[in-house]
Amino acid sequence: MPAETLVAARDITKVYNTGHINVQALRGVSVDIHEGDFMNIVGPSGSGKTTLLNLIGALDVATSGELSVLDKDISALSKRQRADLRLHSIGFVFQAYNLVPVLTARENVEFVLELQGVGAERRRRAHAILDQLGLGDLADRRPNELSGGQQQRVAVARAVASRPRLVLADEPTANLDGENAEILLRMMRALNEEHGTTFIFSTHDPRVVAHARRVVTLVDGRVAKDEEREPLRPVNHRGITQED
Amino acid sequence: MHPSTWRIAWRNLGRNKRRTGLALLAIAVGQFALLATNGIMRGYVDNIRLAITGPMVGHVQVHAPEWREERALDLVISNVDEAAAAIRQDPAVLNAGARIYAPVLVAPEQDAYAAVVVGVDADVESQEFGLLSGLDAPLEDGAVLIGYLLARRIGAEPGQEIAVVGQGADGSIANDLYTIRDIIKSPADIVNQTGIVMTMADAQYLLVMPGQAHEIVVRTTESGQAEALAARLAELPALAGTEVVDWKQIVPEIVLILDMVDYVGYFVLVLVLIAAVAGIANTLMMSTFERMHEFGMLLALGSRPSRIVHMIMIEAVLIGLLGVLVGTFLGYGFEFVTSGTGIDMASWGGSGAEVEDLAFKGLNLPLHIFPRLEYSDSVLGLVAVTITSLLAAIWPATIAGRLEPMEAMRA
Repeated sequence: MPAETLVAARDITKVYNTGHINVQALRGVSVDIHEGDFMNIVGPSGSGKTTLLNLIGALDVATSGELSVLDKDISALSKRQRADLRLHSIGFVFQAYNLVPVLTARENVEFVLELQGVGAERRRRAHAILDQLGLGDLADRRPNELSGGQQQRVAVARAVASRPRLVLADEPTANLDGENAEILLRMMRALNEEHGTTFIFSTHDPRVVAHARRVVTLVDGRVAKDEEREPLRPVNHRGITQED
Repeated sequence: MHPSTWRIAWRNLGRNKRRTGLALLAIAVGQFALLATNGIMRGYVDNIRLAITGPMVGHVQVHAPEWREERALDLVISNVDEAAAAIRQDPAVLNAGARIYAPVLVAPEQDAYAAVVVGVDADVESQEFGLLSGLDAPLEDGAVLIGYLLARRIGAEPGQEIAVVGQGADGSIANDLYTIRDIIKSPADIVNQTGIVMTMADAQYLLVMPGQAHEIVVRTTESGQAEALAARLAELPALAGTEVVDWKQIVPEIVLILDMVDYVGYFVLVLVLIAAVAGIANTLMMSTFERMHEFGMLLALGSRPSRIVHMIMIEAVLIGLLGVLVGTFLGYGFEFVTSGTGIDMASWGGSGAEVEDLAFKGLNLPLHIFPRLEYSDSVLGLVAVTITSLLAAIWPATIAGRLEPMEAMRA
């Protein structure tokens, strides 16, 4: 049975108006993303990677074309409906961690669960996911008391704690050294393979690409290449919580 | 509202401690200034009210109809004992005492000086708040009390005999000899300057005013009900043909001053609110612009804009309430320290002169003030600053509420 299509993009364009100049970030992108994908969107700077990710994440609306995410036509959704879609179905991992600085690691993870209306159970779930990502002992620390790698793992925990079907990660390893980047990617691979969570990365980091099963290459706002492949690096499930 | 909204708002106050501290300080100083000003003003008002409704004017007065304008010797209340007795029947009346005023000449030796005989009901005036309150022993017939400024001017001393010469109500020459019992300092400036205080019997005899007096001073147990009491007394048959007025009608200038004192309180409140608005709005605006990226991230995660707005509103109210709390603590501390010892406002003059009291419209107003706060003072500041805090948050909250997640995250 073929995997369900979570994202269906048809000839989408995105034009940014910056004063007197119109910048065409996407020029007719068509792509289908299926449940369980562990996919990279790659390409040089300015190729439209982040723009495409933002459109899929319902953070922005395409100028033209059709974009359906989880069977919802993004352009037809109100601001509030898009917020609800993000809250209940999409997890985000940002380049610069983007944790709430005045909340502890556990509270950051609980935050989205609380927004979703999860009650007393949210603390247990937050602890469980932090434990799974090797952060159980750091749950009560604030972001400024964590290393960059630890912060990004908290961000991943926050993104997956609500069990979204889709996780979007924009350059998640950009600020991490090789070791921390590898640990983070293995964790996300494990979550993908164990829970079937769909991951879409915007990146030009070869370390990330090495883990991808599918790589979509954008050049000048167009899909230049879309290839399925075997990940170059295997993931050791037992090792995901160890900084090996 | 989500618990984390409160948590984030509360903890955000500690993100820039110096900025938050300055905002709190501005509000706290404002609230302290409000309470200190209100406390001092209320203490001052208390002094004025006590001086007026106590020894000087009383709460209600009864006179012959034109006496207040002309103060002529023959404008009298004829049946004064019967009238006073009728007045005392009212349950709200604390006491009622008749008085006589008459210009005379006083001669301790060869020279004569202008003075005013003040005939009083010694029993009534010896009670608390009376003209002779605090006197060691009751005033007796044949003895007089002399105002300290008059005594200084004429060189009189206790035990000395003085001659008093004037005109009787019937046109005859009034004169007699009296022994100075004591030299007094009274809240009534007219007594200090020119007063020769004697018993009602002596005054009636000297001035040929049998059973008569110029006024009856009435004091009540409920000072706020003076107007109603005056209206009730005016209906008494025993007071027919007299004028019955409450103290506010007798000294309207003082009432004006008391009203102005209230306005001073409101003026300070406005200053407090301006300080609160400036402090909170500035803090929140800077904080909002600094956290644009963070707000964008919260929106990206699925927060609704209203949550961001609530967060900013809560921060504003927390700053306001904390500031008011600190200011209230300081204000009540000030009252606690000064209400017992009082504040000697005369010493603030810095002139070096030995000023103790302030005389105005015949009243001697003590400058030693005992600040007094009322519950409503702190509540007024609390409510006003809370509302002001919310108003100050409207602008930054509006900006935050209109954010688009991507635009905010690029900021």
